[in-house]
Amino acid sequence: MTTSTSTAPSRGTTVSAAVSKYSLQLIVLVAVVIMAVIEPNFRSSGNIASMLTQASFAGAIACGMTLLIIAGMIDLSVAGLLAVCAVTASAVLPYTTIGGAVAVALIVGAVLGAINGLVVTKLKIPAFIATLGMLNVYLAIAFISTNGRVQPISSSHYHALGSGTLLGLPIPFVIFVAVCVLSWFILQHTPLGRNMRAIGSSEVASRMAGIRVDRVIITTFAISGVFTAIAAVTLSALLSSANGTMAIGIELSAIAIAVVGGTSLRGGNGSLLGTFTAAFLFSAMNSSLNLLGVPSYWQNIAVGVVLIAALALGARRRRATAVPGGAAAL
Amino acid sequence: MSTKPPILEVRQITKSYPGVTALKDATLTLRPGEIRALLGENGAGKSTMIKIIGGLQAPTSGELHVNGAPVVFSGSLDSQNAGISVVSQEFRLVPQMTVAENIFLGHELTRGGLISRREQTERARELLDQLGLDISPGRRIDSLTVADQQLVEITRALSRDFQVLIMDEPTAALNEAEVQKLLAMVEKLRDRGAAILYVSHRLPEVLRLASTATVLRDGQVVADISMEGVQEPELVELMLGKALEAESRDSHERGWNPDDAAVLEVTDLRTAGISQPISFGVRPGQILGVAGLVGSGRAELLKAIFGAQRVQSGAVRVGDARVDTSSPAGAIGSGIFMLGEDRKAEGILPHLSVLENTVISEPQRGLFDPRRWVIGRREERKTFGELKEGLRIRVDRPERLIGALSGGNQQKVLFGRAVLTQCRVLLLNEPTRGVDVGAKAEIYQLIRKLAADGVAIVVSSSEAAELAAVSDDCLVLYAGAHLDTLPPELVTEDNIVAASLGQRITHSASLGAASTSEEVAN
Repeated sequence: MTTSTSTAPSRGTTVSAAVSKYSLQLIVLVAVVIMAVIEPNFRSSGNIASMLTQASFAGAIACGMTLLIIAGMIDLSVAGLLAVCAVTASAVLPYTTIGGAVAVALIVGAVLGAINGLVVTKLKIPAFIATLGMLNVYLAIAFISTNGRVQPISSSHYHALGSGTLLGLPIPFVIFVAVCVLSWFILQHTPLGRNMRAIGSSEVASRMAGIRVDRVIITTFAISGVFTAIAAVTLSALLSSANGTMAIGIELSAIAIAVVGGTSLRGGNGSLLGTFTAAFLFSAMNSSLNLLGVPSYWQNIAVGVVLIAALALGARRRRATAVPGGAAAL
Repeated sequence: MSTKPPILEVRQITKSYPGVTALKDATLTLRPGEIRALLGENGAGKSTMIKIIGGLQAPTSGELHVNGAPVVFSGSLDSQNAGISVVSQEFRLVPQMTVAENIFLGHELTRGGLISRREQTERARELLDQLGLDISPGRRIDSLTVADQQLVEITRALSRDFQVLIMDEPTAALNEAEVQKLLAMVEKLRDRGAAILYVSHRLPEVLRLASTATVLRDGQVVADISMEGVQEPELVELMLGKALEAESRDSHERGWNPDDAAVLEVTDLRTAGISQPISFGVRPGQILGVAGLVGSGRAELLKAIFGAQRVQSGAVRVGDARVDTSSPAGAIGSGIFMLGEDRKAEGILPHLSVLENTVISEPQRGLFDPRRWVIGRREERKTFGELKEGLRIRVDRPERLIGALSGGNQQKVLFGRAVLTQCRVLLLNEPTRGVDVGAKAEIYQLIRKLAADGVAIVVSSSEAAELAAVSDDCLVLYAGAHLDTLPPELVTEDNIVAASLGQRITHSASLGAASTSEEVAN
């Protein structure tokens, strides 16, 4: 009796589950189609390239942030970390090849990320506070080493990393997509990613299961540091310069992207497809509001409303999906 | 028998979730001065019933009546205001607040609009005294043991005015002495006219307390009976829908060889909660019970061996190798695994699937093994498929979240986790807590099977019957010290209870060969 009644609604629930699972993607798709129809400039190739490029910087950082939040962590220091990496790249560029400068930036990113992880795990300071402290340290390093000035980068080849195209797509965007895919692969297909989710789900239980929790957390911070360094390279390349204030506030954009993409701030759960979509959503929204002539201060209201609406929807969805598991567990 | 009009009536309540019907046409009445047992296996619908009565969930259909009038609860506050107090199985205490603050959470004692701390502390102390509890009202919840937290939860329920008291597994975390206190308290409340719905897997308690019982099976009420003349087997049969195979108790066929050297060797171990250094050894295939009241150091001993609690002095060896007790990962590397007492907080990883929860502790592969870096799904599914058969884990798809499983099945998954670490020593703390009768027997079989495969097993439990059922020898701890070691022929329920209360058993009987090194240790 119960079995026959339970099979009937299951077909309906798979369709609605799919709609619910990809609701963010559907909403963005519909919004983009509407914009493309009513605003010809929106669908111009120049605007599309610009939207994709703009989504890439905070987007790449949001990938690392997604991994960190899933592991129950957060990194508020990314703006400082990015500045240090960019300034380092600009400083070594005259003495080495572009590849060498990029490699140095990535290594610096990994080391600074690992330092964040060490502060969190070894000094046992909550990530929120530890990385807030490190933000100030990294920003100060960037300012001191540049004397507060903008460091110009003259190499046109380096500039191409930010402004060039590959397969018709802006290079920063191609790199962002690669970072997304890599993050997804780490999360879903490696023991490391599984351990990240385990720790975000329950740190105590993870320890009891034999996971080397500190090691995983430090590694995750280091990976996030590398992704931030990648954004440092593409952003400084696009700007052809590097300075301490070049990415102020980007941590909030990255967190907003991760959260709107469906990553739970409580840890344990998250989606890189969501992060990718949300990065594009914010960029497309920005472009749309500009094209529609909405004054920039008003645009901030729209961004805030989207953020809160996404969270409210996410909370409702979680409540709805939490029920079956909870019921069966009784 | 109470003949007064019912205080609480549950009338034909149905609760369905997408794909699951948790309760179907369930009816239940509760009268003043009545203790009614609510029985059923895990998943039978007991918790759903409690949540509906407690206002935490709304029924899909059906009605609740309090004092003859229909009521609709839209939250736990409504239920409390209607005179219903719930002692839940899951603690709803705020860990950072004190005992007194928690007891009065939501109905603080105030003077002139401000919380009167002194009054709360005094009143809390009175309530704790009534229960005969030695817990200081000023202590923070997170500094208490699980058992004490459970007692605070009960005290909190008593601090409110209520006509109806719902108790969900109130004794799950308690030792015998505390259980006796609690049962006496419940009887006192009944005599004062409270109506009590008592949910427990421990049938002796139910037989002692309850005058009536409602039995649920698969969400339906299968029996509404008077408890007069009812015996344990009858209740088990009603719950399971079949008779349970008898647990063989007196045939202690030990599966281990006394000539084997101990695989786990604990020497002069000291840790928080263990005041006298403890030494003992466990041989391959041996099941060593650890008995003791809460506060005896039972849980702490196991945690320290597993590296989950700091070892102050002494050594742990597996085979000839000294175990790195600085972390569980170190202990696992040396061949030790532990299943802790709090499955929810220390065991399962709620966001991970059943399969992932099973394989999470598999040893890390070598640097050049691709499996160290990339998960092999097909391999894992195969591994899980085999384990699932052997452990009789009931789950339709391995991708299901672990939370969707019943307590017993979750525990089996954790056993699978232990098996995959290829541990030589398995520490079990309260292995059947919150597990229903049927799954309990299965877990006992599992423990014996692992022992037969040569794993040395240490079982710590607050249930004397459990230790008598599974263990070969039994270590008894009392107030942080090693009191006695019962050889197999003396491992009976009565002996364990007596020894836990501080009576030496082996003095009166002939001293077996079981305890030698530990005598030297003291």
